[in-house]
Amino acid sequence: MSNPKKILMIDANTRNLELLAEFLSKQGFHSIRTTSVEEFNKLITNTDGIGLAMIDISGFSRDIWLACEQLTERDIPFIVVSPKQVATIREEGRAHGAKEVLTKPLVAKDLLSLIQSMVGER
Amino acid sequence: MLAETSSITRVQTGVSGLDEILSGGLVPERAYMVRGGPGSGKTTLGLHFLTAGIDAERALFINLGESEKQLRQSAELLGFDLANVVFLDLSPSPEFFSEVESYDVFSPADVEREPITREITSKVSEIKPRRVFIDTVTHLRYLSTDAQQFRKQIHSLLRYLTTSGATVLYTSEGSADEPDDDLQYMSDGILQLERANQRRYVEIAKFRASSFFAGQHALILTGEGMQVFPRILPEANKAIIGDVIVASGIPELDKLLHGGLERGTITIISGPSGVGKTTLGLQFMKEAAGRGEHSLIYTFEEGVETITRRAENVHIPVKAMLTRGTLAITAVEPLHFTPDEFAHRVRSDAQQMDAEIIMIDSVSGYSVALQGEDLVTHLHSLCKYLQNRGITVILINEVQDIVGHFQVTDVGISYMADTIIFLRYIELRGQLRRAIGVLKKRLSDFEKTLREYRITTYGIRVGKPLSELRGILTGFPQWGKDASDNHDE
Repeated sequence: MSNPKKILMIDANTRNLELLAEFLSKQGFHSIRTTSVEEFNKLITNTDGIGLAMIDISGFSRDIWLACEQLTERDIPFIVVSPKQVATIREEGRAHGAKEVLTKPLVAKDLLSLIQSMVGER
Repeated sequence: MLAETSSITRVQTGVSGLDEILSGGLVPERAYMVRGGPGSGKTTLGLHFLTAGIDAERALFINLGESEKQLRQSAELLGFDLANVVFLDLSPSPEFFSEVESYDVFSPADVEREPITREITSKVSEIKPRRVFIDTVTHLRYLSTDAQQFRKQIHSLLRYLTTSGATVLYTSEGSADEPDDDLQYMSDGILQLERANQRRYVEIAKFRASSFFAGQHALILTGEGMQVFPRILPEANKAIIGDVIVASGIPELDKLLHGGLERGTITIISGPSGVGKTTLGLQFMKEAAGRGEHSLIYTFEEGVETITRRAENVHIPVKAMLTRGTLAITAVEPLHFTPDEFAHRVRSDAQQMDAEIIMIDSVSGYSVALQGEDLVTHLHSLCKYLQNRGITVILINEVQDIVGHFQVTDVGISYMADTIIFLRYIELRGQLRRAIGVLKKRLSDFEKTLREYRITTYGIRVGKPLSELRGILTGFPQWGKDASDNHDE
């Protein structure tokens, strides 16, 4: 099963990015990865066919929320991944347009069904 | 040792003594748990197990804690030949630490389980091991997100290994903080390694489909690995006693005993310090040596040298007996031995030397070796075991009081004696003398009077019955008929 839509990911931790990419490619998704907000912003504007974005907010400043607004403007659905179960992050994520706010560690099975439903929706 | 023998072929553990406790060994194609704290010898036991196979039996060591390199090093130091052992090294590599970034997006269970499972199955199907050792299975806990899942996974791993034809040993470091009850339930047997009072023990806590020898058994870890000393448990009484008399060779003494000691009985020689208890025991051995029989002495108090010199001075030819091999003296340092180890030693010596008489000198020395464990239980099982083998046992028992209040033993062991001979100091006309008497004799009658006991350069001398004296047991005897008349003599 191959999905033509790309998944854009930002995570300050490269090992996390590798694991996520590995996991997604097994499921037939193509992913674009970055560790910097600056590059992430560029990718949002310059890449076509982004079906979904995943943002692991750990290690980033509040700039990350600006990137979220960009995604909302372009109508790209996104998932915010938070390090802890914190209500403020959850609220802020929602306020900036996140479809879902997940807490680490992610449960592989749940993540997959969430991604599938989000990409499939569109 | 255990009467029951099973028809199932057993898998040897490779540890001397341990198979005996397990009624011959482990039941094949089952999984056993080795429990114990750090340094209790779990890995050593595993090395024994892996290398105990016969005919180049393939063995697999799945190591999750120590690295293969470390394990090979320690195995080499202990003299294990790992030629048939394949390692599956799942221990954390140094890179694990130096890798700057560890992940947190998925739980370790999700990330690592699959590759580890794959490695194990591919290794098992590749080498088809008959013996598998997993050290330690506790480390696999992080591969599961919850206890339920862990239990299921380990259970299925063990099932996979055993159905592939392997007998499995897995270790666990169960503690109060991290209980391993789940692992205990799924095992077919539990070998519990314990350490207490600077001593080590092994205890079988569970053994499915087999009998086992319950209780704590002493264990030592040496430069050659592990050794277990099964507790000595006397069989149901099958001693044949009473037929043969072990005489002392001193006519008066034999008269006192109505012939001598019966073979296969337990005798306690009781008395205060220096009264001549050891010498009396040696006298029986001297006589036995004359008949060509063998005797053994375990001395907890004196060196071999001292005993030899002392005996030679009183005309007991210990040197000659030692050279001819009719006597062996072992000086035992009580703190170096556990009671089980000592019993094991006595048992194998007795067999090897075909001993007729064994003397333990003394009960108090032996009790030091027990370090607070129950003296009566240990001494009882050792003596009964020897008795069942037809060996005459002599126990030397020192009592505290030189004179005065009479008591047979300080430690409550007189019940196990068939014969009790006591030696006493008595004060007679201002002189310190010695008396000998018999307090109990199960298998024959005995003289109820006391006799004078002397140790001379020509040997032990026992006098005529002291029938005129009264109050010998108090230590201050008086002439019987008219004590007042003789008072000032």
